[in-house]
Amino acid sequence: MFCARLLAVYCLIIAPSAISAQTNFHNLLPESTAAILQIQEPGEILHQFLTHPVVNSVYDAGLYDGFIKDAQRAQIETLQTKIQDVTGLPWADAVKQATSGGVHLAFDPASEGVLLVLRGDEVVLNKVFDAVLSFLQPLAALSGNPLKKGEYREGIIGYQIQEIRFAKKAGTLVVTNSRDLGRFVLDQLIDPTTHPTFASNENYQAATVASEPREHTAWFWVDAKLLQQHNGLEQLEQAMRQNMLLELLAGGLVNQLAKSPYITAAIDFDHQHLKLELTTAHDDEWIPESRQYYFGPDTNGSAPSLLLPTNTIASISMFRDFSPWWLLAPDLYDDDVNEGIAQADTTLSTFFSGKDFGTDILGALEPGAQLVVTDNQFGNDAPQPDIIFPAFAIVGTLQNSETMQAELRRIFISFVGFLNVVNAMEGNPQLDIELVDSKKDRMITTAFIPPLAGQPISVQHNFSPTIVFQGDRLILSSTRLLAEQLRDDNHSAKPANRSGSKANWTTNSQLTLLAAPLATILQKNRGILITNNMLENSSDREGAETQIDLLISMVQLTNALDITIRSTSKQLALSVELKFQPDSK
Amino acid sequence: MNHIDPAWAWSTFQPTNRRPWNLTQAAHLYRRTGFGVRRGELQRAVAGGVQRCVKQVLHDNQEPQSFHDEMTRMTRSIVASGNLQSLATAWLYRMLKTSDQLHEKTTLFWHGHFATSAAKVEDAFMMQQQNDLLRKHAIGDFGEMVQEISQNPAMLLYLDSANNRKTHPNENFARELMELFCLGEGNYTEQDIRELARCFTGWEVRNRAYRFNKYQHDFGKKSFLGTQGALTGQQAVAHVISTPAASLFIARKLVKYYVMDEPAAADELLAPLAQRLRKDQFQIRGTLEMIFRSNLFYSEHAVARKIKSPVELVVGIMRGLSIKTDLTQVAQRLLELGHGVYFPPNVKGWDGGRTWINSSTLLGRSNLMHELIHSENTTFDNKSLQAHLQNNRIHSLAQAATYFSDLFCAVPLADNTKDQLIASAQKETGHTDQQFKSLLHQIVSLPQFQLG
Repeated sequence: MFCARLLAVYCLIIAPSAISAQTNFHNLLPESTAAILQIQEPGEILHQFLTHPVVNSVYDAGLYDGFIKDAQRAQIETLQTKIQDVTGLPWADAVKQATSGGVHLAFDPASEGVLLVLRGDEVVLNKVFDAVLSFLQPLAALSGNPLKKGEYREGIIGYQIQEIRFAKKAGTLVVTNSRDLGRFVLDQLIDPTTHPTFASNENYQAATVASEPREHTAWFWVDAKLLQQHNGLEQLEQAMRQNMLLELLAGGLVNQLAKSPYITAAIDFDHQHLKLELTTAHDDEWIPESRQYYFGPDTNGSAPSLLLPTNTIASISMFRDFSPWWLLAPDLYDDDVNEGIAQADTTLSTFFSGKDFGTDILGALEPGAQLVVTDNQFGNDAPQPDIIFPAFAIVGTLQNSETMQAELRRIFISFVGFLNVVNAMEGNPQLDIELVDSKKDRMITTAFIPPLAGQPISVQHNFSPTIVFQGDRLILSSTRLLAEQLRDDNHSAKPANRSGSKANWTTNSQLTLLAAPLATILQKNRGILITNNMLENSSDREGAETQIDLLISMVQLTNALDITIRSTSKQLALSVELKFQPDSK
Repeated sequence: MNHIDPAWAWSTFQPTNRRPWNLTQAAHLYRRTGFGVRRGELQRAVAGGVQRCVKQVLHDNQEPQSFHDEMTRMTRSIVASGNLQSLATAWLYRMLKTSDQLHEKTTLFWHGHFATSAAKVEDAFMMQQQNDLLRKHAIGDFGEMVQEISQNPAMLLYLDSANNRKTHPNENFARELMELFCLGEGNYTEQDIRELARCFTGWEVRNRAYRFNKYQHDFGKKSFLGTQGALTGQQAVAHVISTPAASLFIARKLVKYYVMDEPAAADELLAPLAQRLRKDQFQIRGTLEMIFRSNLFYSEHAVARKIKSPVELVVGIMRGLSIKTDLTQVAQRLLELGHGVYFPPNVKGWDGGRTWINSSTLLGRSNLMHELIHSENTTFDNKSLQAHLQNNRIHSLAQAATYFSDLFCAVPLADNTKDQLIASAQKETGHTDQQFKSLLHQIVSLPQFQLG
């Protein structure tokens, strides 16, 4: 019933007076509580959301209409008006004051109860409570489940609509679907006992060592047994068995999630950023041999620094030992994937002159890789195709550079020759090769021969495959310009690990995605994006232009997306941070 | 089939009480000369009269320059991407949106006539170049079109004629030029093929362009189809077109495409049309005008005597109900149904007619329509189907049944058929919009809907 959902949502705006300082939230909860969510200042979140430039842009673009149906919007607006009428305050201000003491949510599997506790300014919240009640009462009656009311203990009045029960006591509003849970909480409020409560939960205490709830906009903790018992991670594990890339990116993380006694999620939100940080316990005893490639033998594998050449769109660096990853594929993946790997292994070994791909080729690389994607630049005389693909490069470190350089050089030249034969057969342009040697490095670069006058410039002119050997450093790039930039920028990268934080964190993987260059390359390809939009929606150009320009402007409202996986000897954290443009709108 | 008097057949149609100019006839004209129209246009056509309507179709619906430029921009983007399937999608878009429906319908006709498949050519630039060539001459000069298509790189590649040496002339192109493009079977001999092939020696494709290699050309005397001399390729093409069989062959194809799938029109019936073609020096427009103004076109020999191709099926309903949807999906489904534009199955193009219907394609057509109607990407003039119908003052299933029948069915649905369909649609639970969609899907699955 919408009514019950509405009640569940709008209990957020109802809060009575603050409770006794001695009876904090954790002392109200039974020991069996398996999950909690804490929001310190909901009103502030609401304020940030309503004044956020990105949200306002979505609203101005008319996209808001798609999120909420008309009927629901009408009810929301009615409720907002009621709150304003009763409190005499703008509804957002009323909500802010009503929840100034925080909002807390909890789940107790023993009673199958979900609990919501709210605190705030007593006067305002009483008024808001009355407004919401007056809004809900007729709806409840219409639905055939009129509001019920009764006294519990010590003058506490309890209310019930369908299965939802709520009561106020000394500045605390309690909302729950479980009578037993509700009674436990109210009894704790009336008469705090010495019985064990959630406050003594060791897993929760351990979790707060890494992440202090009060420092974040919202903070969530869950007993991982809850997920493990309900096979919450099984689907993820299954997906990784079927997807090589997913395993490579997240295999170790999911492994530890499955073993950890708890998981926390901290959310921070303001006009500068929206950040989610997931934290679990971390123990090298939990890591099977098949996943040691992810963390390294002492679980201390550190990602190399991020490459950030000019016009970087995305940069990824990670610690991964690719050779054991490839060789232990039978333990990591299902039969279909392994069949594909076996075929690829045969082909790649042939390509690499009979050397074993997993042992000899991947084994020749140090663990750790850097991948960078940039906007594609073209020299003054270079033909520029109508569709611009980004340039990309992979950088690694060779273990035996003298031997491997010769091997890889030969393979690269053979590969170019092979491409030219295939392109000639298909009437496509040919690659010209150039060798550039200096004291410090050797570069083998290629360029597609420009087309004849009047002939179209094919998308292949986005590429000029290049390989650079710079001591132990290997650069494999889709374009010459990017390869040269990476070669010349060798000493300007910043270290991956942080220092000075309260724990000694090691960065295992990191990704940064930068909005401005992404918007630039989208703008360069605006034509084909519009064409595709017209064909996918049968729309005219004007409609397509509006959608594509909106997409580009949404990207431009953001600054960057950063994803990091880092660890200490005891904890593992995944953080995803979306940064917004400063001072936008 | 009864004998059709040619004099009667090609006389100008004058509406009578027995054969009035009404919604059914107007819809028939628009289905044949294009891909269908909306109800409002049908009503205006009826009010304006048949002659005015034909004049409009033939002369007054030219594409605005802005639309032409738009399509050029679109195809240029797609050619840059090299995506052949997107070219097909773009052409569907054009069929849907262009005001010059006859031109686009005729371009599709020539695409099947001068069949060239992207699956073999594998080059978006060349395929689009050919498509533009067909569009340029579609309702223009057939002779000029044949000359240009003969040197079209995509065509030459498709017919394995990218190299043609004097010591070993490629007979494939010569055969197809006579058999498929200009004369038809039985109007040439094997000797004609060998001699004609010599005319095309030295014709090559290099770097996606036609090139004449004089060192490989046979400059000697050739003798074929009643002529002899040191003919070049262009002269040979001109001579082939000038033979009496050519005009009859083209007339026959035009009648099959625009008038009736079967029975095959007799030579006697086609003779006046062929004569008109020759008189107009193979300018197509005049011949088409003769067809669309004729008694034959509006008679029981023509109305409901063609089976809609999958493209006509889909584009017709989309235009009729202002449907917007993911055209890339539509193009893919058409390919799966055997009517993927830019991907004809062989050099003969699509046979059409009854070949569009068998137990498997009938189910495929119904499934395609179901997917189109029920897809979450589909809107009807940016609304639900129910809202779109309400905008057209259609509020009940009964009204909708008549509406769909008028728009899409060459043979109007009988009342008892409509009643059965309505009763079945009413069983659909849920939103009323689902009932309208159910009704529509039932109608488009009927045999009556398959007739064009």
